[in-house]
Amino acid sequence: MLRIPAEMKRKKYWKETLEAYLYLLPAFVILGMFSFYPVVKSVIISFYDWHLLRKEQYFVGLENYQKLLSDKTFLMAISNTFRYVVGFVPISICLSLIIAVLLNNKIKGRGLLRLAYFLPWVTSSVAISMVWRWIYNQHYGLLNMALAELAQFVNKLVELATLGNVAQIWEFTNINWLMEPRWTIINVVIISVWKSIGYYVVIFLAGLQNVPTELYEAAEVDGATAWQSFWRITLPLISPTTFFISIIAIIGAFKLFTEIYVLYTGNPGPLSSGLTIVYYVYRNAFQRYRMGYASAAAYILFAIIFVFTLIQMYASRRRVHYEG
Amino acid sequence: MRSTKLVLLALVLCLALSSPALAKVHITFWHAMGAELGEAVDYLTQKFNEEQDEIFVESIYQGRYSDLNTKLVASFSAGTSPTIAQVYENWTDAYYRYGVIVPLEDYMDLTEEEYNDYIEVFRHMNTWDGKLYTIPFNKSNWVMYYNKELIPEPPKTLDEFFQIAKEVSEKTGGETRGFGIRPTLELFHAFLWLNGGDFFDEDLNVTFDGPEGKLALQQMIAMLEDGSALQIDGYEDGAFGDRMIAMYIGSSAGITYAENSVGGKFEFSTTPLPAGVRPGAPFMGTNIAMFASASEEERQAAAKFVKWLTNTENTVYFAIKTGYLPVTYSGLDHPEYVAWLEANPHKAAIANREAFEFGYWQPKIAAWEECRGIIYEMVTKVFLGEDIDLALAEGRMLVEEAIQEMLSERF
Amino acid sequence: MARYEMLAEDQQWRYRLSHFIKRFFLYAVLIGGALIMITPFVWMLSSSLKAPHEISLKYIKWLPESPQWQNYKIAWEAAPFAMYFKNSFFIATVCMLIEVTFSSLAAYAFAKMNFFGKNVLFVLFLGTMMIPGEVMLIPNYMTMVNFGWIDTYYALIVPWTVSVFSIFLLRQFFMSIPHELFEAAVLDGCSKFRYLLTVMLPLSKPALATVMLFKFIGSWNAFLWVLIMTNTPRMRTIPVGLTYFVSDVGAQYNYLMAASTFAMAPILILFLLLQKQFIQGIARTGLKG
Repeated sequence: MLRIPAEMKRKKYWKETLEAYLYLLPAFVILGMFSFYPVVKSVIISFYDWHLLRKEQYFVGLENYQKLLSDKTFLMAISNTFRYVVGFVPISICLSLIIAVLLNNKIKGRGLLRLAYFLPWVTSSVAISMVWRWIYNQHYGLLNMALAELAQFVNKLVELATLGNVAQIWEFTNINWLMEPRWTIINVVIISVWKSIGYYVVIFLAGLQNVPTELYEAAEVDGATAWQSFWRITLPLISPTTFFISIIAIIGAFKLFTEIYVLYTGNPGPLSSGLTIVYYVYRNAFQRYRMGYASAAAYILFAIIFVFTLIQMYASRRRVHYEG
Repeated sequence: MRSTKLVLLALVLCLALSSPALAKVHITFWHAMGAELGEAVDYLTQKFNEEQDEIFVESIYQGRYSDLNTKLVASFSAGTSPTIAQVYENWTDAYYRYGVIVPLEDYMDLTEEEYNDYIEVFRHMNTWDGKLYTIPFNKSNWVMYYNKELIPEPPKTLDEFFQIAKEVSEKTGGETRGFGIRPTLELFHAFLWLNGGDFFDEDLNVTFDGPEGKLALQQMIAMLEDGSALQIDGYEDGAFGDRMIAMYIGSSAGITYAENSVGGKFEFSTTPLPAGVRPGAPFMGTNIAMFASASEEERQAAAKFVKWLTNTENTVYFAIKTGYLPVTYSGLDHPEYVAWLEANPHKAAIANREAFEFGYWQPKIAAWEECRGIIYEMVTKVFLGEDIDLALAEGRMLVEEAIQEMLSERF
Repeated sequence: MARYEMLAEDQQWRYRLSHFIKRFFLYAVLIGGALIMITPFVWMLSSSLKAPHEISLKYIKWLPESPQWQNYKIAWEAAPFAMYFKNSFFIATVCMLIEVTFSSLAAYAFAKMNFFGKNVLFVLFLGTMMIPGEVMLIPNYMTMVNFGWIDTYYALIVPWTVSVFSIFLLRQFFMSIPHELFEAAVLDGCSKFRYLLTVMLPLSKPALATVMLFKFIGSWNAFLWVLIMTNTPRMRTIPVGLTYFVSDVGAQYNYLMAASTFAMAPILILFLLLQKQFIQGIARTGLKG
């Protein structure tokens, strides 16, 4: 037997339900037409051998899903995507939190500094990919030049320290960052962290405005260090924002596509090392016209993200403090 | 003054639109030609609209080719296809298989003479089922760009080419390498073809893993290893303008970009690809296809427009304005075009008459996009140090799978 | 500074020194980081003023030989940018205003009301973010065709007037406003809607500014959607114009960079205008104590 909660019986609850739905109505209508409806439609498509150029479509049940799970390319796309998520999410959240806290100080020209951190988010993606391709270039790129200098410096240091007994502990040869598959995901993590820091900083800054300044002053009087204040005041008080960002970041990271497409100029990187799930979806849908297959891939991605989000929501239940 | 004219014009337009006797057939033409190229297309359609009063053509820019493709795919599902559009041959093959397009030739009333006027290579590229399903529109070929300062006399044969590339690298102490290599499919195809091979035989059996393919990969690797070539990423014209490379193989459609990147720093020119066991000139670019969704009336109208668009006068106009090739022999021989080539000697190679005899093109099959990816990865693997035989064998297997999958697709 | 006044003089000196060192590092880190962030932007600006042959990635030059101001004029005239700007501006502004309204309403319900199916609904909303737009594009295109909305502003605005991102973000902010305040106000006879207008929204200015900024940018930069849903230049927006400078065999980088620069200018202005809202920390003080 299901036990009906006492409050459910109350008229007030249902009145509030009605009212709430009124507030949700606009969102409901728009999402219904342009999100829920296409979702339902594409779920149905995922059970078909659905070819975009063909008049007739054939129902195949779960065949697309079965095929995908034994499709080596798709499995590789899943693993590439996972490696990206694992790299991108923690780094971008930590870095942007640090920068947001620093930028929240009363400093001169912070308006301009904030703008500077936000710029990558809005700079032309062509300009971004050009400059990063220069940085990564094998022959004259900034990264290889810097590493070569560093290697030389380290070698000098070791030579001096060991009185010349050990030389050349680090033999540096130029790395072909953009051509070697093992660097692809790392490259993309670096670029997308760099690009999205400003975006998350803006959100964190908004969250930081929720922390009353008196709390810090009180803590200072009590002799707390800045480090302690950060852990005991800042972090708990902005936990709703951190929670939000971590959910958004994971969803966004799992949907990686454009960054790869732009950096590798329309290729999924060397040996498909940058082939992600969404890239695979795009390719099957628009280059191979296999909409059923593509939709099934999209829903496997959905299932993965969904599980992660639920875990996150469950795990953070006790750690997110609303209402100060 | 101006406003009265406008009012008059508006009145005339209203009259024209309201009188059913003057109802025009409205057709739409989707293309991917931006900026100056787009202006040339718009100019021609406008001219066509003014020259006659039965048909109105609306030319619509739909973004880059990948965007045009997405848009076309979406339009098939919704039944909103245009009347005609620019398409690549592999798209055409897919469209042909599923009956999305109709053969333009059936509606064009081409005389024997008109048919034969279309350049033979282009006819091959556009023929399915013995018919010109599509009509060549913006075609280009790949030529060798070379730095005249470092290479006064361009190579005529592959052997000369290897020789010169090596000499340039040595002469400049590696500052400028002889040749720029990207592990692209086009470059592999060029070496493969010049050595006498190709991707498939006529029955779609894989042949690129034969001795010619092996030699092609060996040649590319050897050039990188002895320093006569430099591996680059990004568009070649940039590296060329920076004097990092003295030669590269690239599309004739990119010649204005090369002019810009070089910016008068040195003199450069173009030449046909050096001949191996046979000469070769790769042809690329898109064609115009007509969609089955068009009504009989629209098909007739669109065919008229396409015929007009590729007549001698207009193909010459388009070629001079954009750098693409005239699609007919009469266009190639037209005095205006000949004069334009003479005035731009560095462009001479793009319309080299002999090249048309040795033209080749990429396989026009629906699964080509997929095969491209596989072959591209195969070449990349070899560049990264994998054994050539192994890479070729694996490439063959994957391409065969892709072809098999294409052939087993339900209709 | 309360603690500072309690210190002895020599301690004050040490406090000042450590304060100075902290400040120094703060500035060093922030300015150093900022330099890394703005590099591509600077490259974009300088390339927009270069002659084509100066755009080289081997010999990066941060200043053009002589600034080619006409690049901006040429780029501006290469596509109907005046019309594109008008469209982008209209679409982005309307989207932003409607969206912030709808999202506030929905977020308010999720944050402060107790209703049937609340959690399921919220997860359902979130779920729509987890599906790649690629598979929804064609169904949505067909909807637009059925509605007869192709080539209208409706197609470019209506579907984007609700975003789960904004609802979620605002919900997080609304939830951190003390609930006792809400109950007290409702007891005093304040309607829920008035409470939203007079208390919640003013207290959430930083979040509202964030939501608006992101929506404006998203709308401003939308490309594929606009291209798919429109057929005439009359209805198109700036990103479509930017594709004019790129082809499959090369790109006119100087014009592209000039066009990209004027295309992003309005976003920068909006950022600076909303900037003040991000730092309104005073809003919360006095509420809790």
